[in-house]
Amino acid sequence: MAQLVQSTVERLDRPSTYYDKSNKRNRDEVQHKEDPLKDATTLYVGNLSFYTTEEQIHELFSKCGEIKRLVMGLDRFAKTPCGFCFVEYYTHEDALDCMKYVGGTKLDERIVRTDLDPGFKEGRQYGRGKSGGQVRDEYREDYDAGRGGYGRSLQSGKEMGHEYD
Amino acid sequence: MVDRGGRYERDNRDRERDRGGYRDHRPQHFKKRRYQDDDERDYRQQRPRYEDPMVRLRKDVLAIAESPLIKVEDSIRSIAKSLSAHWDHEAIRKGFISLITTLVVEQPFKIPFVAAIVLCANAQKHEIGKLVMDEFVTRLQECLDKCEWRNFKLMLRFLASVSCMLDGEGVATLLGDLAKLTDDLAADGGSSGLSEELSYVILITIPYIITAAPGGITEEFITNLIERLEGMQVTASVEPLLAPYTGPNAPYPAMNTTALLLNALKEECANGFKFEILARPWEPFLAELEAATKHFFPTISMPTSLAGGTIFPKLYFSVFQGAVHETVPAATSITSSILRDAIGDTIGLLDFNRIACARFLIDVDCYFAPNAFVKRATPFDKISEVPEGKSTWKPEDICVDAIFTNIFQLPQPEHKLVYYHATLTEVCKLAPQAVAPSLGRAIRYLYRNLESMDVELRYRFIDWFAHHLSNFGYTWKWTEWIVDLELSKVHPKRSFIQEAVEKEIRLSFANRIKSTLPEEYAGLVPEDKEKELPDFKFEADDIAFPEEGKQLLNLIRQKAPNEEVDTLMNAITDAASNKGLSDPSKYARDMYMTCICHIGAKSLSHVLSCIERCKDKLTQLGQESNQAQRQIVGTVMRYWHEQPGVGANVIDKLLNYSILTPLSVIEWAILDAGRDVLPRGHAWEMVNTTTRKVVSRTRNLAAARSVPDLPEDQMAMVEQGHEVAKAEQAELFKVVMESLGKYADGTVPPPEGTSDDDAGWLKWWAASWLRALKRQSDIEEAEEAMRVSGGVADGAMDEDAAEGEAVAEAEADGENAMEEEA
Repeated sequence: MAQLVQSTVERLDRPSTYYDKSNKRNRDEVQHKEDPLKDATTLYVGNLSFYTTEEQIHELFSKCGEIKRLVMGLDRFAKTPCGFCFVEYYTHEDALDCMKYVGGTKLDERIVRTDLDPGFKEGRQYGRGKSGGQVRDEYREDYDAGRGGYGRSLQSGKEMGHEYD
Repeated sequence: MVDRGGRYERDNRDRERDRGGYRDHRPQHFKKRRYQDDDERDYRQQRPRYEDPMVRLRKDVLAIAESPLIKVEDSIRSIAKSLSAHWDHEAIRKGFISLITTLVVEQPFKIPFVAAIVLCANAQKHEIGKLVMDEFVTRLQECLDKCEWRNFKLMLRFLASVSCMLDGEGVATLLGDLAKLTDDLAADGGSSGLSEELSYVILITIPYIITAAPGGITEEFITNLIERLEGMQVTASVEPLLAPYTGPNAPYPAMNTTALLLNALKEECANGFKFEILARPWEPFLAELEAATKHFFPTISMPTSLAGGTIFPKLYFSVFQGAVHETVPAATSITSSILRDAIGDTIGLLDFNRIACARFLIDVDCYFAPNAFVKRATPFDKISEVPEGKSTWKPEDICVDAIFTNIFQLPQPEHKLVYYHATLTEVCKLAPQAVAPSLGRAIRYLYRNLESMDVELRYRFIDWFAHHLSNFGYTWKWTEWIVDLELSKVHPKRSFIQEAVEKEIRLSFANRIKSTLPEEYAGLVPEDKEKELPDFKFEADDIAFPEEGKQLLNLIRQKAPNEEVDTLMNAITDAASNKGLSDPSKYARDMYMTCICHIGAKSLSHVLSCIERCKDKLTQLGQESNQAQRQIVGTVMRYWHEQPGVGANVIDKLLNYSILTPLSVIEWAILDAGRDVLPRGHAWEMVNTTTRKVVSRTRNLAAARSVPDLPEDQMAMVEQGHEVAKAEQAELFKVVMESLGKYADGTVPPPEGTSDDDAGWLKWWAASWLRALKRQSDIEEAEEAMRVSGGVADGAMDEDAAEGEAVAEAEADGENAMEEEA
């Protein structure tokens, strides 16, 4: 349901700017179209540890409603978890509740990020980074034990220059 | 708190950005886009450099009373002044009205302050008061017509708070009319809880009327009103089943919140209506207000029909009752009712931003009378040093108490439980030093009273506790419960410890949890729990048909043709039958399900895809008999006995595929699994999830019946579906009641060798399960009765006739369907 009156505090069940951004070029054109997230039942879940299992995700996320499908994000090459997943609920309301109540809380001692998603499509379960994982894990400068240590480009320091060869 | 302005300011920002202004004050933590993939928010959002008057006004009104550093009367005066100066602008008028009508129903703490702003502005420009009143009156009527009781209550509270600018008796007539409506409803038996809700709305308005700047309502009128309402109280039949604690050791008796409020108000009548807890922000302006123009308050028409389902009575719950120091107001005091109402609404309304909600809770002392509480974060043992006559109420305790009241609300709280978990987490994050000790005392209180706690609430306690700890590194003073590890496994406290650890492991993993526990707890996390995959029992030799088990595993794993699988399974059944084993087909069945579990053991997706692939065979196995399905449940739970939570998930999926019937799951848990499963969290979870699934299916079908203009043939199908679902549901609850009843009254004695103490506890467990499931069943029956009677009340005669025809048709269809199947 569209929120006609502006709330006095920000709502946590709004999509982040990520989705907007991907449409930036034709934002004006798409405005009259239906919002693809209007009935979204799927969430993108980010900042997971590589070691977090489906069961753990299920345990936390089913607190917002029965889970229809859970798709783990995988390294494109190694086919191992690479720190994100898609959680699909049966209802839009459950997905919104998950944004409100689970996004920004901890799973496996990491703050997870949730975002409404228009729906999982085959292929999206793979990392889009150069070395197979998520893009953010390519260039990360901090050490994150749950996500394979330093960014992959840093780890293979020499390779960084290769782009210019 | 971030971005109170929300969208409005964001639009401004965009405009600023287009002008390029944002580049000048780029925040330090500006990050390149590629890093933003997983960051919280877009950091480029900026504060606008120029603020138009509405933006400023909005910001000021929203911030009213929030900061203890700013004198609230200064804010009120300056907002009122700016309002009257800009009132000619339509944008300001519209913006302000829209803002305060939202504010009142989103941040109820601020109602007295917003009322003071309006009163003050009205004294400067009477058009302001007039427009505000008209708008609120319209909204109030809408809420009443739509039966939106909470919003109605808050709009009414606002209007009551501006009584002094209302002509004559103001809202008195309205209150009188509402009381009459309440009386009519109560006379009907008050079965839907509506009369109680209405009398609550009237009663809770009273303190705000009395505390508001003097208007036309007399104390005599109020006293009469209270007396009138007292005569209308009816107790809902379901109320005894909603009590959080039962038995001789319950920490306090069950108390209805409306009754508490009524009695507290009666007491106030005698003591001259003080309501010291409420803020009186209008006081500095009294002289101006009395001289201001008053507006005629129009008549609100009473609704002709009242819709909106059952409203359950709310019972008092507290985790700080009876402590050495009174850190929360006594249950019977009017202060308790006022605070619980206002905080409860704040929590209920702000579910869309738990962080903002937590902020309000932490700041609760800003919104009530000065000195109503002790200083924030005063340690519990320092309360004794508070001088005589000063408040000993800890704001943290009051907030924590209010959140727990929601978690422990029966039958269900307003929002999903996880919302309250998350809010407690946020409160803890905002003020760890203040809140953590309060939570510690709350946990100990709940733990102490486990022996009287409702079994459903016990499960909620475990679920919250484990989830909460998972957000704070799993730290808890486990050492203080070491003594209780000696208790029998079926003792409620020992069981709590076990199940909490179990839940923690489900959110984390065995080794991690083990590392957070004292050595004494090692027995709760056996080595087997750390195994990645459970053993495949056919690897061992001391089992029937080990070789066949391994063969079958390979066949299924290699996706062998069905014939091969069938041949092997038939051979096993034949072999068992030749050996003279009883129920020979059970061996192959158990083997098949065990193989599926083992192949799918890696993860939920693995087991799901395996079930999906083999669902025809599984369905066939289950269709052999109800006993066969119960056996399948048993096989899954046996395979996952070290991680029963995973097993329960698998069962849930099998239920979704209709491979298992709900009845078989329930019967397994209550009849087959052994009595000592009753204290186990996963057992309750399985039964509760299953009954709720059944109930919600019946409800959905019932709702589908009332879809207008449903074609006759579809209606017939829905009707039939609903009748079938209702019958299944009734059968399910009957089995539950009968079996648990026999355990509870001792007709079926506990297994041989059970000690007397344990036998007592097992009876206790059965009785508390029985009570919780009876509650579910009773509520469903009452709802269905309501739906039926509601239909008749609305009903034109023709509709009934049509319904009759549809049912007849459905029956005919039913017969056909049966024939086809046969």
